[in-house]
Amino acid sequence: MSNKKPNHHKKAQTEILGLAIIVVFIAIGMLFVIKFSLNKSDEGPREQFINSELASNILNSMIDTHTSCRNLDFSALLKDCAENNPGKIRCTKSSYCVNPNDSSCSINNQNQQVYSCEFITDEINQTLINFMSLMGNNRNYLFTATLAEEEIISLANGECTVWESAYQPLPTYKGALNLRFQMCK
Amino acid sequence: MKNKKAQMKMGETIAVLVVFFMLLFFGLMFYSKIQSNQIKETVQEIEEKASIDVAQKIQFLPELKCTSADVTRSLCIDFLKAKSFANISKDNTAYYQSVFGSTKIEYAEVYPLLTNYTLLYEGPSSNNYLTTFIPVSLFNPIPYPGRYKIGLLKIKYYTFT
Repeated sequence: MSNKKPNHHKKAQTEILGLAIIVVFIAIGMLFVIKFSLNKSDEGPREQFINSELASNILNSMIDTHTSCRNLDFSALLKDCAENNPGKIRCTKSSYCVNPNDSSCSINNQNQQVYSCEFITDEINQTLINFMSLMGNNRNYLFTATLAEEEIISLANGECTVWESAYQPLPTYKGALNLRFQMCK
Repeated sequence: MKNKKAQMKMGETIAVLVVFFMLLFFGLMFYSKIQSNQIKETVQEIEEKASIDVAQKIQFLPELKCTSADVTRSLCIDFLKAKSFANISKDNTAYYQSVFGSTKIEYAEVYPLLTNYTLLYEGPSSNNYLTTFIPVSLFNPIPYPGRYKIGLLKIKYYTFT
């Protein structure tokens, strides 16, 4: 008895093999498509550079800046606010009116004496508002000054899920005053 | 009968070849589209890196940086130097174009007074650009010992692709 398979069986097997090869080629093609589409990174090098530098540069630029309150800088007033909440140093609030034409600068605010905490909070708030208006986008941000887990200053503009953070500790006799500035990515 | 069978076989072979070349053609079209997108992305990445290079050069430019007792302060612009740099850059356009390329550099005061942008340098421009903002300290050495303000550098890097 012959064990040879009939010819049409062999033919069918050859056809199936041809189909299988085509399916393999299509699968390899789909793998390349998926590979190229998944390879795209979320952030380019420029975005990485900007996001990593902007928050910390804003914070660093504020620290040594002089104010009109006895020519003291931000860090000195922040330290006084942290050590002697609401502050020992008294500042004249007319300096808060950086733009005399501003409608918020009422006559009642002129020459008003305030403590360093209130003064520096207003100055930081105005600075951050000015930054956002110059950069042309209203990015959400959060600024906090914390001493031993007690929040001394907190300024927020909107909510965010992914933040770019910058930290700056300032030494005080009560411990480190942690300044934290977060901007929405 | 045999001839008809042979013709059918020939037709089958030709059909297979046609389908094969069609698949090859579409595959090549698809591959070339992906390659051209990749090339565009590479060019954009190169331009973005060039804009970062320019931003970093400006931060450490001797004509603008703050110094005190031979110590350079980073991310700081001397206010008096900045005021005269605008004229210097106009008088030495060729040199600064080799340094900055097609860029527009401006700065503004943020604190204590909010001001408009002041031009420092302007090179050849185009409709496409990448903007980088760098917060800096603005140091005014007069009166002694000087005062620090807050400023913002705006760097527009023009692309021509």
